[in-house]
Amino acid sequence: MSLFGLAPATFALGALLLAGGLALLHLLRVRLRSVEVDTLLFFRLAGALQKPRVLPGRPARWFAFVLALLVALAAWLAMAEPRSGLQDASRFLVVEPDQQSGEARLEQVRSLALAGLGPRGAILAATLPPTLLLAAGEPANVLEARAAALQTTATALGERAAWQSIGDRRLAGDEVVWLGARPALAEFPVVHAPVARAPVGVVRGLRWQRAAGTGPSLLLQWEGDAVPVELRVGDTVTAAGVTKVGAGELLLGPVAVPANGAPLRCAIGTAAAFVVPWPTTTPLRVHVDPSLPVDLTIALASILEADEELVEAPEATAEVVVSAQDVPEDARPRLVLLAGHGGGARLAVNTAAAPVACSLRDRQPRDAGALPAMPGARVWIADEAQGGALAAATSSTNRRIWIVDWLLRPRTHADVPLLLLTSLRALGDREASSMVALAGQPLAVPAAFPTALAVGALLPVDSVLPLHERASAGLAIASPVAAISGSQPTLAAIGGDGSWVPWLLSLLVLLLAVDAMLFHRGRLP
Amino acid sequence: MTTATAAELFDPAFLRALEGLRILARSVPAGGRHAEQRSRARGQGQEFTDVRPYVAGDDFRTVDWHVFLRLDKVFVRLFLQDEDLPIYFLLDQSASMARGPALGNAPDRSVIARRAVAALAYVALNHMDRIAVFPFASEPLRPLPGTSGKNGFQRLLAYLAALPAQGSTSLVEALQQFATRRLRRGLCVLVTDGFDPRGAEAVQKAMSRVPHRLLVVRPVHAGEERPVHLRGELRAIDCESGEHVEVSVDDAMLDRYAKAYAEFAEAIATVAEQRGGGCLALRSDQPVVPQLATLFQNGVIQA
Repeated sequence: MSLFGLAPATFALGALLLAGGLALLHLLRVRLRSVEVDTLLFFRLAGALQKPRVLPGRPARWFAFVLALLVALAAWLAMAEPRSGLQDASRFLVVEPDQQSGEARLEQVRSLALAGLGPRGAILAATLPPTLLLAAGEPANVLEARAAALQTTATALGERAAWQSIGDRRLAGDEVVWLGARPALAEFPVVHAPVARAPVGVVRGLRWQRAAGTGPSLLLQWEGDAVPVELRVGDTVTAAGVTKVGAGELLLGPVAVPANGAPLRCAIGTAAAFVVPWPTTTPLRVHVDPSLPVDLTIALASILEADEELVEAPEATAEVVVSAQDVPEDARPRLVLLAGHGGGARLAVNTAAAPVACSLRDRQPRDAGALPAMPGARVWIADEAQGGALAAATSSTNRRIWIVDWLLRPRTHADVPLLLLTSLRALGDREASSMVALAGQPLAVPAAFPTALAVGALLPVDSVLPLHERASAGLAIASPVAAISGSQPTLAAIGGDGSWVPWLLSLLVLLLAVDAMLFHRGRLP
Repeated sequence: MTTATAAELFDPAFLRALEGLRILARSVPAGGRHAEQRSRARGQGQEFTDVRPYVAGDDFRTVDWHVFLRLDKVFVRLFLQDEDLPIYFLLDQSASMARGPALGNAPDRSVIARRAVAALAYVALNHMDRIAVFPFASEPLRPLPGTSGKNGFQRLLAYLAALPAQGSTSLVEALQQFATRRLRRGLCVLVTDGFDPRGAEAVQKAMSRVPHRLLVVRPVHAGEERPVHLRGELRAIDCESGEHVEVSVDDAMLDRYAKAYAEFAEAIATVAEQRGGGCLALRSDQPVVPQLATLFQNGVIQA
């Protein structure tokens, strides 16, 4: 056990003073209980006219004294903040605040914090005075809040102060890590962790866009500093132009599709590089039958407008037809959106053959049935409770995809366009999507989907580029005065796990309850 | 003030249990009414005691003609006169008598005391003896004058039921005043807890001056000799005077308390034994009559 709140000598001295004071008080303290008796005769005959408490003398009630002493010592010990397990190895991190790499540094610090700091560990910013970012036992989300409030630049003096503040808490076996772009001060032997390279921005989207009369272009939605973008076909850098078409949007291209199918790489500064699948050359002609519900027609029109590889066409020239009913004599691929006909389907889940990662578990049960029995059809999505197929496809020459209408409700659900788009592309033998990166969406495509893009090709080459939005908690430059006047926690106030304080406070409450009970029963003075 | 109806104090079963008991005096002084107790007076009793020479005026029916024929002198036969035994009840009705036990729900001492008085009076009245009740608290209360006969019992019950219990205990004064009364010698039944603040010695002295045989009945509560429920730091307040003492009641104190109590009870009992009546501690948590019956040897109290 270690004491965090008081020095051992202070604790011992305080305990002695408490015991002495209590003994004195107990000798003097009288809490009389008034009781009417038949006669005082026998009390007088028994010599009861002595004072209950006389100094010097022994406490008349040793049990009461011991109880009071336990209460006081428990409170005193709780003030001393005893903790156990503090001898275990801990990790101390000293972070060099850096505006340029704030987000990456924070991410790195966060991951190290999640790995555990041990019972005494802490994360400090090398400011002057050192700023506590996270202490052992504190929740990790405190880190971001404190880092966002950090307004001081790092200095060598701050680093030195941080090392010194750690010094007296460090035990043999502890790990001390310096997170900074420059080496740590030589007199402090620490582990120097490689600092993560900061991304210069965030990819919000990357997709093909086709302009009339030209080749396809890549539309890059980018949030961040201006960086050079390079398109490379095979090993050759293309001479594609870069046009700013909107806020954070760059149009790269047009790009000539090579005959040999050499891969196209898109490099964004030094931060990231993507392997981009080539677009198909011919748009898929899709006819939307007017018999479909209006809201579904609107949803389909939006998909056709958004996807450059799909184009709306009259029924006569269409390659794929979307309708509410199947037409068996028409051999063209057809997406049939069947209206529900009752049956009380429960929550549905993807089967192994499902083409998309529909988040169907959050759907509410609807009063709709499953698809009719279709021998030979491959089930995409099944009703887990009832076993019925909710979406299915045939792979024969008469290609069809059936989807129960309720699976497409509400129309605003994120699954709806994805399911429709995937279905249309599957019917047209197109790749699943040219949308290579979507902000805020996990890149989870079932491996079983035959035309899915390889997920690895979509990720940045060094896997450090964040593809999702994050609060920009930076380690920025500001006046050091503001930091000094702030009420930051100090390293002295932190502790590890294994605190005895809750147990001691529980004991205190228990002892007080016993004391109250005995007092009310007249067992205690 | 503690009052109760006669029916509450004395139920039929209580009275039935008293049948067959008798208070028998060793002798009663002359001058009483004709009753069942043997007195020293010569009179119209059934028991022959002596003969004496005839004098003018003697009843001719008492002449012993056998002696006259043999001795040619006229003698008359003498018989013992049967008279009543006066029984005086000194009943303590102070506030301490009105207190029930600290633990349990037994009746208070006053109820027990009045039941004891009623029981003994019933036995006396059944045998034509004469009773009188002298209640007292801080000062003498209105007495029940001498009454006899079975019809007097109902009057006694009504009287007892209406008696209040209040004020302090002036046992010594009550005994002294009683001793000065010019009453025919008889049996004095002192029914009291004995908690006179002047202590056992003063009570003993006052008891010894009572010119009657003395039977002491002390209503007691279970455990009052060692009040363990009073453990702790106390401001003990006298229920009669309101005085208080601050006391730390622990085992040692309880031991001393019990010793003082036992000495007090022993002192009272000793005087009562010396005065020929005996002493009975009447427990409030037990039926009255069986306890009183222990005073009657073969159904008789030799007073």
